[in-house]
Amino acid sequence: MSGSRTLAALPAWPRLPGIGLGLAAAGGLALIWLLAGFGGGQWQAPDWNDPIVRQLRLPRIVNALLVGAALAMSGAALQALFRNPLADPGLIGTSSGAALGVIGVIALGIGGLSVPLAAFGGGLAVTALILLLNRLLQGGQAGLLIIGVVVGACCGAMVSLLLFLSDDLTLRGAMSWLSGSLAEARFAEHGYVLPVMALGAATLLLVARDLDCLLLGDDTARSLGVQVGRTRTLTAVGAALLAGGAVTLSGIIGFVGMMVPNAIALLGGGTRRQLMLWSAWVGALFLLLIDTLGRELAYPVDLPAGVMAAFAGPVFFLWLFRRLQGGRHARPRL
Amino acid sequence: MRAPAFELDHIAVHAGARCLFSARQLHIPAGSLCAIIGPNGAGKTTLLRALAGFHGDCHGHSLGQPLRAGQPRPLAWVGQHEGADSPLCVADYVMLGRRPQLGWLGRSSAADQQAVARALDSMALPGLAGQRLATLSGGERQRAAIARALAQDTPLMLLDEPCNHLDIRHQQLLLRQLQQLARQGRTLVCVLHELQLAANFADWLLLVADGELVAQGRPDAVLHGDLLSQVYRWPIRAERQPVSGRWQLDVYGHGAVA
Repeated sequence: MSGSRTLAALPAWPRLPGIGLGLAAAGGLALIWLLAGFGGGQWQAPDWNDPIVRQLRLPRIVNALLVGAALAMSGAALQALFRNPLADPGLIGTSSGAALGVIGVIALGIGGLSVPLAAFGGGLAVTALILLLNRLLQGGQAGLLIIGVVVGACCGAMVSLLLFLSDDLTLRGAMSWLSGSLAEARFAEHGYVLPVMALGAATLLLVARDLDCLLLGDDTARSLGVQVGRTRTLTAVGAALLAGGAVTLSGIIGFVGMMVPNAIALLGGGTRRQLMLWSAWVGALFLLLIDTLGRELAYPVDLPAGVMAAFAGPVFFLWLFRRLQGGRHARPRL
Repeated sequence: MRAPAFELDHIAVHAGARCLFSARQLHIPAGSLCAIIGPNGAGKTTLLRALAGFHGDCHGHSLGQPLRAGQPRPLAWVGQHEGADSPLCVADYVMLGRRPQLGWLGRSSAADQQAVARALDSMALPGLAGQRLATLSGGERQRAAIARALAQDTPLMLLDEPCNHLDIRHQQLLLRQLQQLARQGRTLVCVLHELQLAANFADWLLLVADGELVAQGRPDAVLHGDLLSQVYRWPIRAERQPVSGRWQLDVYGHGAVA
């Protein structure tokens, strides 16, 4: 077969995602409109001029979309970085560092804007510490994983100690933040966080092709001209910026960064750039969906999105386990 | 006359104070299919990775150019079990071979698409272009990995145990394809465990043992029963069939060679 004839057969892949993209965008917008209509235990068509919708529900929707997209996108990048389908932003210390920062300022009795700032600063500081230690120890990919787990455990121990020493009021405030709620952030906070998230997303999209190469092994990536160490650092920094922005807005929400990219990789596959973008869109809609369920299921109790995501986690793991047992055609791909 | 693929005065790989591999005067002719053979733990992959510039020190020339530490070498590398967990389709995977040519935004040109199509053609993979890599058989995935390396369009290709986990038919098919690529002018260096395959397909052999280069040259110069028995510590008989010209390597006896 000649080269040009083969080429004619190739563009099957670029065309299909175009149609899929249109369908996903239209379906997603319809879902957002549908979910925006839930409030007070019932549904009615959303009136965008209603102050409750504009000042409470809309910021919460934007919050869910931003946090879901950021967590899922950083998870998609980290799963390639660690070559592990169970990787999520917790592995580079962002969540544990943010938790330590927030519990620290709450324990000190400082409130207001310092809480999200402590979350962001704590998350990035611990990620930077992990990267620095890995560089000093020349640990490579395995070292980054081990140091991430160890430093995360240390942060967890310090959080436990602070909680143990805290009074009931501090404990209550800390627990509400640790549960991960989307109800607090307003448009003003989105304005601060959005540029940071955009920078993180742009960084990840730029290294996406290098992550595809890195998944083939360090040696193959090097032979393809990838600067392996630089790609690892940029990926960790980009993922930390995204996840740091997310914890600033919502507190700690687990599982989304692990579940969504795995589901996308299993169902659609594709290049890392495609996986990241699809994960961001699906993650955004997924978090909005479970947050709406959390608002309405036990109304008037507003269940935190972090708790809802944690309930969805085991269901997902069961599904993943069944797929793993389904043979090599159903193996989860990074 | 073409410059040799590798003409090294000295090669050494250390892990801390321990020497993993060292050799003097290593030669690999251009346009050959070279197999690195030797027992387990002899240093075959260590040598291959050193030739690729991934570790160790190499002093000498490659394709007429002096080798410099830290400088990228014009070669394609095919690792073991490459792409087994990748979510890419075959066409996207082969396109990764064009990464050095793509801009920082990673957009592929018509020339890149043509190179990918040619690589798929030469490995008889066009029908699988849209299929997920992880769903291919071991043999198909190995061919896809070589297509990815071909798309890189480099004169040198280094393969780490390309026949691992392939059945007899796929081993034969793969090595024929590698032979064909060598006849087209590329130099292929691969680690092979199967002596019989190395003897009958490679036109240059590097025999290594205990972190040293024991012998190098055409199969006639390397495949001596006494030498192989000594290196593998097991009695081995190596004979070339007078009619077919094919090598026959057998083990005999019941005891290890001291």
